[in-house]
Amino acid sequence: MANYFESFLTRREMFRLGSAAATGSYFLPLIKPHNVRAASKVSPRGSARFAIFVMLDGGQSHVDAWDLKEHQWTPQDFDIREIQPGVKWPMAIYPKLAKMMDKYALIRSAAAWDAVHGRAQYYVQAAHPLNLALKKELPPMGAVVASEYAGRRRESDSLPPYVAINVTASQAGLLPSGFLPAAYSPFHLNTTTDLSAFSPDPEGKKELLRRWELLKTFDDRLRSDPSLQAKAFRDYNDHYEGATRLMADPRSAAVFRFSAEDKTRYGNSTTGDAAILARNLIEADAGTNFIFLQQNGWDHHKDIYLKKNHWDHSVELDNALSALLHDLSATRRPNGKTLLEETLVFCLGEFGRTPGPLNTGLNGRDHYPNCYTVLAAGGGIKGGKIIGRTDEMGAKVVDPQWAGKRPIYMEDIATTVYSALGIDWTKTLTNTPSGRTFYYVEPLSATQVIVNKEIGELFG
Amino acid sequence: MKHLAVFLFAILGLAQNPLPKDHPEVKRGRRQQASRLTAEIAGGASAKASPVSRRNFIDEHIFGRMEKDRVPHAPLAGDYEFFRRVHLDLTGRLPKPEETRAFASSSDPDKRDRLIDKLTQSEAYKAKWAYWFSDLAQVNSNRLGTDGRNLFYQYIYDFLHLDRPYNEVVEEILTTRAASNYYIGPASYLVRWVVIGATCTDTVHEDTSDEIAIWSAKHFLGINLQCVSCHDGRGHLEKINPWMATRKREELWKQAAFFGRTRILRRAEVQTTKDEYSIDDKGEGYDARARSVVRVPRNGKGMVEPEFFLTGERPQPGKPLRQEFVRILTSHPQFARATVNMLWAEMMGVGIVDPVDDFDFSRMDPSAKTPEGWPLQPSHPELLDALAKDFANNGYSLRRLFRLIAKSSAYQLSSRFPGEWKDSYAKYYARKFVRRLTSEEMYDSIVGATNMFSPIPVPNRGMYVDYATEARSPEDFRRHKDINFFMESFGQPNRDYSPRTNDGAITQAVLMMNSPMVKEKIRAAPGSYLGGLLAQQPALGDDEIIGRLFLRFLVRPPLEKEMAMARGLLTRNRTGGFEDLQWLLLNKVDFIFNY
Repeated sequence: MANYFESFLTRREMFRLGSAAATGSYFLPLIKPHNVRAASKVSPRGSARFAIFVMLDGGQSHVDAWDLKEHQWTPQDFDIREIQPGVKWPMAIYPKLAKMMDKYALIRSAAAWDAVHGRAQYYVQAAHPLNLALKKELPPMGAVVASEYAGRRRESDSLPPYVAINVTASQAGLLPSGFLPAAYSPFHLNTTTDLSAFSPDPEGKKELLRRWELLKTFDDRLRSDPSLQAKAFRDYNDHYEGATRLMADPRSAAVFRFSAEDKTRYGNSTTGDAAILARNLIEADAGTNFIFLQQNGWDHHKDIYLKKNHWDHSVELDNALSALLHDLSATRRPNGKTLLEETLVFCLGEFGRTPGPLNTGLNGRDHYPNCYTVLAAGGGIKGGKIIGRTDEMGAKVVDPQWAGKRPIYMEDIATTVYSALGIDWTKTLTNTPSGRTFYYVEPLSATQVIVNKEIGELFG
Repeated sequence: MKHLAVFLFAILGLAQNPLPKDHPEVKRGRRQQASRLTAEIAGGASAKASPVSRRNFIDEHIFGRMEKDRVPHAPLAGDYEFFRRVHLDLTGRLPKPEETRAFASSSDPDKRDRLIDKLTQSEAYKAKWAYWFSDLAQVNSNRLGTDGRNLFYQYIYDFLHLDRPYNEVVEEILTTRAASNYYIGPASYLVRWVVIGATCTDTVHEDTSDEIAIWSAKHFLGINLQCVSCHDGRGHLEKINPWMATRKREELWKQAAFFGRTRILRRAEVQTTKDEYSIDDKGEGYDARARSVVRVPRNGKGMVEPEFFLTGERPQPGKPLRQEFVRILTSHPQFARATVNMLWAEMMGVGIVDPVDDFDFSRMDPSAKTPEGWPLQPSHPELLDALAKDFANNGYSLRRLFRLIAKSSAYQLSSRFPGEWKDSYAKYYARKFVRRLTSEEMYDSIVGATNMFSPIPVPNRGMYVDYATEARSPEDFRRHKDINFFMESFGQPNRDYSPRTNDGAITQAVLMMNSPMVKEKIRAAPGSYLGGLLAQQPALGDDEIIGRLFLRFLVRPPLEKEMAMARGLLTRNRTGGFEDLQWLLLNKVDFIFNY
């Protein structure tokens, strides 16, 4: 009985399609999205090269955090102080961020389109409403950025363009690249798993490379012979080549390093580790431009003021985010720019939580889309700014305080991200599987037509 | 006014950007993709085409067509190829070396049929298809609560075990009433689709009815009502499905109105966010004026009366609506057609109608004219009808259907093709299509081959399972973070909003080559398969162990060349060499494809 897979060796001429290109180009654009059009002339800002989203999965209670509303139900031990004229702050749970308001801005006039986790989380990743008919094909923001940045990729880049960290508990899950090439799908890393696979120690690296060489000879020549152009195998082999490059890249050791000192400074937590990884990725500048990092467990319907709920999550976030912003602003590239100047950071939940008294019976807060707070930093964003004013309760936007003259939605944030990254956000793609035009930023939001705008106020 | 603007915008958007000529889903379907993949992976073979015997009516249709159109086909798969494939397709797991050897050496002319009969009775078969149907119904604990999910899984497993008539099962899951889905298993099918509004206890009635109409039509009629749940087909679906392009949103409402009295409520006295629901028939009907939290506003005129989407048939006056829906649904031939087509696609790689949930009734009938520029949709319309009739006439038995397909020569063709392959042969099923293993198959193949299991806990059941397909839903893996990460990386869906993907990725290669999980499993540890072979007394020779490892991982003996290479690995360090060999076998190309 002849070996099944041996058969193509005897017929290898079938796979020859002329001269061969070298492999290892997995992330370079093999398939170009075509029919790309730009609808209008806009000038993207181009002030950043990286973007980090810090997603507060479940939804943070804005009135107990960055748009604090002090009422009789607010816990006594929040240690509320005025840290800037008009800015009341729960010092007990966000002490570190309190001291660095010059590094970030707060958008208090943010609002979400949806009040259900899955759909609202989808919105944060996609910046488009969840349309079940289009779900399979619609690429998330990170994939769009990856595709736009494909041309800027250098030969030496070994890390994937879009990295997701700790997206382990969301209902939306991680959105794959849709109709864009699979290489632009989020490369997921979970800091609670053993990540040693990605950056083996010298001994492990030696063993890996030895086995990899064995595999190339042991396996059919399909794997090692670049003249064999069968696409499925080329892809398959490219994945292995890409993986080996990543694991063997000396920079990987730095990316996947969590020193004891760092871990302490970032708060010894899952989110702290995620933030260290994000920092390392930006610092390495080895191909990753978009990071979607998630802190899980903000859905405090019940006993929100119990220590393990809002309090602990806030402290974990405070430690991680403050250390991240600090490190990014303290590190300079040879060109003199700090990493924070090159990196746009947005931190937000999929929505806020019900303001006012706690819900009866459960002592928690439920989902609230009408108004909440988003933290934004870096990439040219001016620190210390507060955009938007809400009412006494934090239930309604009283003054949006930006040119849009309405609450700020995910579409506006996407516009801002694309602009800062130098991407024309008015682009559309018509060559989609469904035939429906894909707008980089959707003019039809969940229920109404809006004119999406860059949040220029953030920048000065 | 606002909504009109939205609508106009949508239409204009389409008109300004006409569909590109190379519309991927229209021009290049899964059939072409499968054909390419297979051609690339399986390549050609020197084997000479030989006529195969026609073993049941499937073969009459498949080979009859090829004979008539003079299309050449692959030879029958050899015993090893067949043995591996049929295990993966029917049970999702690899066979044991002893079984493979016994099968290959048996001269029983009926050995393939006997094997198929045995496999379709096995626990692994039930587990695989219980997992598969749970995937289809998107069963998870987030939507159904852990108890609701466990019970629904049990219900699915039991109907497969007992091979209950599928029409009866569908009737039950669509009509069950329950004080709680934590106590009545089949209630969870409908509960799964409940739509939640602004607060956790706010279940949105008409949106829920819409979802039920959409998903039940997808599962039991093979049609996609998603698009017409927001707008009429006209102006949207002409290039996608000409039949659906003529249908209206109002008709979706009428289908949903069969569930207008179906009331699904979160159990209020539980007062938590637990996903425990009651389901009864005390709803007030489907109101087309009702708000929607998930789609374009309805702006209908009032209460909607039920009418079956395919025929316009109405329920008999005074009869319960859900029962009437099931009567009309299961007596329509499309119910059996959609079901057999869906399972045929799982076994054969591509549906007779493909995608399986997008039937287009304007191009079903071979004797009628299809719309200009559109070919007939089914590749084998007569076979589809014959399969559906056979299914309906034989008690809607799933087990019988699987056996019928697996026993056909059509299923048993090799994926190797003698001579030059043409894409146009794909629609004839002239060879077996190659597919990548699913995340669950990958995991189960690894633990099965190495005999290195990591017990997976099933919450609220006080039990542990060894295989991925025995888990109730993907959340069960969360207790093992590394396994969970492995499963996700290989495309496991969360049965919520994240879909299954089956693409390769760098992460997969990293995990296969270097994850602590895989590295641990390939060690010659006590209790591992390799450890057992090495400890055996009297000692086994190198060649024997190499042979068994090949059988275990790849379900075939090594070639001479491979045997020589494997021997070479042992010279440095015998145990280490065998571990290297296991690493190589797991990462070998033929491990990750089903061919």
